Amino acid sequence: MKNTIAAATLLLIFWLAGCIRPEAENMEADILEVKLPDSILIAPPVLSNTTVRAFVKYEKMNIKAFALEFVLTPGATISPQSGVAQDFSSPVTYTVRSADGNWTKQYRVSLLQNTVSGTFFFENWALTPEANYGTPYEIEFGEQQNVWASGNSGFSLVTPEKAPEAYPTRQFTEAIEGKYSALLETKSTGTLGAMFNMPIAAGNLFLGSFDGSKSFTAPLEATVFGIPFNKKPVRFTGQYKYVSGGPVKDKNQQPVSPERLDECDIYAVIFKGSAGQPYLNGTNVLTDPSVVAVAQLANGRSTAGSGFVAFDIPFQYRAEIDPTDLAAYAYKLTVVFSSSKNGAVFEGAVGSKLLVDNVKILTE
Amino acid sequence: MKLPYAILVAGLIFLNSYAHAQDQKKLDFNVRAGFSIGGASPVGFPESIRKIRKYNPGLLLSLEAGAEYHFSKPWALASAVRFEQKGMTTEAQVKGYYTTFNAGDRSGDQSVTGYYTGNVETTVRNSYITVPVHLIYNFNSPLSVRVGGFASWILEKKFTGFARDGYIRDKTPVGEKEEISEAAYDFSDQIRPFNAGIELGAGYKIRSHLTASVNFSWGLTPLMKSDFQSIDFKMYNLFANVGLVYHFRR
Repeated sequence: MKNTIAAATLLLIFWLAGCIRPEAENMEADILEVKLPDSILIAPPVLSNTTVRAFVKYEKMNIKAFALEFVLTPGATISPQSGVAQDFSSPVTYTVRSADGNWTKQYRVSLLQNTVSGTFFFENWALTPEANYGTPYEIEFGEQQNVWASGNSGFSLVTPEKAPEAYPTRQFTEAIEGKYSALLETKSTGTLGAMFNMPIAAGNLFLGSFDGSKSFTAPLEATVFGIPFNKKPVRFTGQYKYVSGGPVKDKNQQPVSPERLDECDIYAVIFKGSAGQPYLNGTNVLTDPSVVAVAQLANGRSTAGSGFVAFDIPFQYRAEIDPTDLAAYAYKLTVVFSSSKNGAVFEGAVGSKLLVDNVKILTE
Repeated sequence: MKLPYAILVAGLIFLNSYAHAQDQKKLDFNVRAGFSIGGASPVGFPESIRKIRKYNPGLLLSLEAGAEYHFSKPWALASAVRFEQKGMTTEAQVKGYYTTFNAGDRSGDQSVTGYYTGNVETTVRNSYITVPVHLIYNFNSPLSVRVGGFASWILEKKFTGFARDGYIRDKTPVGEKEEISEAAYDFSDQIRPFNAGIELGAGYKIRSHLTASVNFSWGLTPLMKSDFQSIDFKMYNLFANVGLVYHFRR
């Protein structure tokens, strides 16, 4: 009797609560994939939430009328249409509309012909659409090349900061060349960051892209290193200034034992990308067998005096460079700066500051 | 919040004293023990809930002391003071579910708000002091039915959970995508201290002093405070309670 009544009442509750309703139309509007034939690709396309960037061989295609095909969130539409020729001699803005029609997102799609020259002054910084943080970019052949990336987008998710000055990686007015340098500062990520066992965000800046979607689950894989490079690097030079934030704390915010002062990290790596592993990430950038040469600052301690200090580091080769492969963009270059040497595993000292400017990859 | 409580208690006292004054035989004191099953649920599931993967009512107890005043056969009026627990643990698969993950410090500024797709586990566990008022109809048989309302004041509150194996889109469905392996949330402080609604019930007399009873209670005030934005649908307490009543006199 009691069980019957209970069962009947439970049925009543579920009747009131209602059944699972039909699935709503999708609200997302992503470009999931871009289709480019291997024959024209220098490096596989890199997609972010609002950008698509690929390095291509202009001589194997008509850049002024190239039909790019997209794979979108199911049900979403894109304008201009997928597969309709566009002039990619400068970036093309595409608008994706969600299946339910209520949400749109703009993508800046760049098909870049060449890569960076190897000289970086950090003069040009682009702000996000919300203008909350900036990222430096290069200008090559009159075209903006978004080759630099940082962890700022991950930081933006855990802190409510609105101003670029509050982010770990930002533009700074003390410079060796031009008006600006890049300033990298190790910041606290507050209680939310601590909850994810990521109590700090080291300022970082690197050639590659940042996969924001991995910043909570696999932060070392969120930093995707490398851009195509077709010259053989010999030396890595530049100017920097570093002020250590003090003793290093681990990801549980406990001082490490034995105590050591926070250090910066500055290095450049050339590696040979493959179809299976086109890029390296924070787990393997210095150790992967595909690494051909590394130039790393030996001593990351605070710099003496109050001004910039020059560095000039030769590339240490672990393998031979194949000139044919080099010309075909099989090799990739990354340059990495971090205000805390172990910032990738969330060890460092809040307040460590690294300024860099006038960075050059000298080639043969 | 305090005023209806005072009115109800005053009413109960008045009812008792009035009953005493009129005819003691018409008054029946009782105690009741029971357990509840149900949940804090939206009335009409939103589209963002795709599947209920797990539901665990937990052990929810209720204890009450009450009185019935048989003012005119077959009618009676009843009230009580009840301690009761309302809660559940559910795991739902959601798509585009608007929520906030906070750091548990409840300051509100350390949070990620956006559209979440993945699994959400929610644990609700609240204790209330409840005053029900029921009108009872006794059939010419062991069966009786009752209808009325209740007012509840919270003693203990808990609304916590985890998001697992999914991703959140920052602020809007087209915002930055962030994978989530596990993130906690705690909205306990956003639970309203007061809850009121309607109750329907039935009793079946099994012995002279003992009645088996079932009560269904439907909260008409939302579980969460009106300025609570972190889940974009309102939830209501929907519970069934099965119990035994012991009557001191009959």
